[in-house]
Amino acid sequence: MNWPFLRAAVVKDLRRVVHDPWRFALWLGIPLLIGTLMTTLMGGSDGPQPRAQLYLDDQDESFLSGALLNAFSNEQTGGLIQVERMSRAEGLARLNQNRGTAVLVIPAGFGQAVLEEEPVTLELLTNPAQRILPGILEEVLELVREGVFYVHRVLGEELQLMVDGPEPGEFTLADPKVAQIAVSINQVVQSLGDYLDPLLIELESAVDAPPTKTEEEGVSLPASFYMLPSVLMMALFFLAQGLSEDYWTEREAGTLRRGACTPRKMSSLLAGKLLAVSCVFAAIGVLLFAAGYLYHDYLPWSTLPLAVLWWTAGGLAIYLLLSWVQMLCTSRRGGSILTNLLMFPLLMMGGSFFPFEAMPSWMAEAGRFTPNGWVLQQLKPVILGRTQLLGLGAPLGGLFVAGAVLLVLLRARLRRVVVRG
Amino acid sequence: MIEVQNLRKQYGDLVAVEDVSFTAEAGQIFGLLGPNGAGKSTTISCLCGLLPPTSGQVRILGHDVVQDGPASRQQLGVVPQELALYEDLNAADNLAYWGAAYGLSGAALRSRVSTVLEAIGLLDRAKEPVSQFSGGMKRRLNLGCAIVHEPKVLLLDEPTVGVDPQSRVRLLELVRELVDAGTCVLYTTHYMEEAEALCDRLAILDHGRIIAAGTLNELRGRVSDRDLVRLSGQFPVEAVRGALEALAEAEVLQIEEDQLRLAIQAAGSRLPELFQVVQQAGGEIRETNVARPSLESLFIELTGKELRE
Ligand SMILES: Nc1ncnc2c1ncn2[C@@H]1O[C@H](COP(=O)(O)OP(=O)(O)O)[C@@H](O)[C@H]1O
Ligand SMILES: [Mg+2]
Repeated sequence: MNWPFLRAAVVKDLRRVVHDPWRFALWLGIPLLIGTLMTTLMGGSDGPQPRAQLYLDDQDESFLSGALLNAFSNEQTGGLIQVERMSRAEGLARLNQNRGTAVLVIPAGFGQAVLEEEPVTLELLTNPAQRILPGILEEVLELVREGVFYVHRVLGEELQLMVDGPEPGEFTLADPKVAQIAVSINQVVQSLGDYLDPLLIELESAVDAPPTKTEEEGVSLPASFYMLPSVLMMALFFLAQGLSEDYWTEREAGTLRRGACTPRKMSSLLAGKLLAVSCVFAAIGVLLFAAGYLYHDYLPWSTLPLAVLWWTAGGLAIYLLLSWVQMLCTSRRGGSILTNLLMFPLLMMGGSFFPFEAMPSWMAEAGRFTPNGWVLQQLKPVILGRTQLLGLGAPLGGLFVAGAVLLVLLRARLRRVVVRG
Repeated sequence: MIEVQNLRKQYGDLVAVEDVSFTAEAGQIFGLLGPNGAGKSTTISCLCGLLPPTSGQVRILGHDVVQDGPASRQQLGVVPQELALYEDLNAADNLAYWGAAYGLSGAALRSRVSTVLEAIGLLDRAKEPVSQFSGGMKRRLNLGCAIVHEPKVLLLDEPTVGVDPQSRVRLLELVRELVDAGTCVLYTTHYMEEAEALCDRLAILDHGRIIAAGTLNELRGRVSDRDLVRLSGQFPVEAVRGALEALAEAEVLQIEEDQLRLAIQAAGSRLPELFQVVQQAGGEIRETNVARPSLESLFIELTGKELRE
């Protein structure tokens, strides 16, 4: 190993990350935002909660408007928002009598417009006499809108896939193949969707009664704690996916090929990348964990270093997996779609979106076998100080083996990619 | 310094390079000249270890590129045809990274980086991100990245394509300086004038094969001392061909309805005669062009087509 080169390679990649501070802010900001909102919705704040009264006029009555309605439902928002269905006119009349918080109108054609990616306007009329509650409603609506946008971004894209044409005689995922995979993952997500409703209802019961497990251990944790590791895992996925796209950047810029023309081996080039990525994970990790520990002030700060270490190690493994998948594809677009499609079911199943504690038990059991579910399962006791460094030895060893296998796969892939250009 | 023996490279069924052999010496520019798709880039890729040759041998400074890969690349600099730069880094950082990739570090690296920045004329723009550079500046930096480690052998793949005239002059000067300092340069291009102006020795490549090789003078000597005449206008092909066959010491290289090319001895004094023959056969001449023997005429003589598409 050539140490000066390794250092230069790490510095090079870190400079490139810092060069784009917006990306950095997003990696940090999105999980913080989602975490804050979810925790608020789960009743993280103490004391009696204000209740918003929302009047809903569903003029669309499609599957999608139903889903949107459901998002505002009593169960979903932990009782924070109470929904009553009525016509727009009736709702307005009540607002004028200073009853209720807001009227939400879902226009006819809403479902169709979302599917066809046409712009669509939801009308939210708020009660000027109430100050804070309408704000919360707006935030929830924004969150839902983001959700629709994100799901659409992920699942809608395969419909517009541009076809590069397959490469003969090579194990590569050309775009048509990616589209095929997309369709089947789509089906999986749809069938999972049947379970999302009970899953969300479960979330509410978790708010009311903390899971029995923690009581057995003699410690009572607020239900909102369970959002923390989940949000951290979500952040880890977004970060890993974002960083994995760098292989496409290097591939398209020709720097990957140029690197292969130097006396350095592919392993050295990869080692530099991995070290730089570790630094990014660790830096973002420290900031996110610190925010979480600040909010959940009962958490012991002494567990933070080990928690960040474990999170970083898990992040590296998932980063390697996603990077390998990126390089299996024949275009940046294909790689982006496939990694996103892989990421979403894993997020859902692996307790990185909804905590395991809020899932039906059979689903949580299955979810623990996903890579991220497994990482998450070790993360919780580390945060709570129930697992020390020694106890983490075996899991770290497991991650190391998985990482090594993925590294070998990625290296082999990059060698081929470099030849093909 | 560069030894290539019977190099062959196949992509699936397509033979991109076949039976290519040449050697290039220190302090010389060896030109690899050929039209697009001739196999120049493929040859370069085999030389720098990117592509494994299908058969044949390549040695750089005595190191076999297949068996002794990293050693063969240690003293090698490669300027790829497509830009290969980190657009989000500045020029100095790009140079420093590639220098480090060849084992430089510390003060030696820093001093080389500023020397190269000066040489490629980017000293005052060193701290700007490459994404803000013009095409010509990027080309110069693309070359710069390959010479930070002072390689003994430098491979340049069409470094002047799409470059503004100023940058082009600068690039060519730089290459000359490197050669004067003892570097062995392999230079590929499809520009005849560039090859003629720059190269000490040359190989002309077409369809993956070397169709002519030697020093510039040797190659010039192979072009008979006939001049090359090109006429444009309107030509009844068969009639004109027949009429020209009767013309002494003239050879028709190409004839089409709007274009006619021939090699002819002392063309200057024989143009009136030529015009008369063509016009009598029903041809109409709009433009005439006479060229002294050159690589261009050699290429046309050997392949019947022009280098440039
Ligand atoms: N990666 C590749 N796969 C298949 N064919 C290729 C590949 N690269 C080049 N070729 C083909 O090999 C021939 C030589 O290409 P190249 O070496 O790039 O020529 P040049 O650099 O002289 O323009 C061309 O016919 C080209 O289409
Ligand atoms: Mg080329």
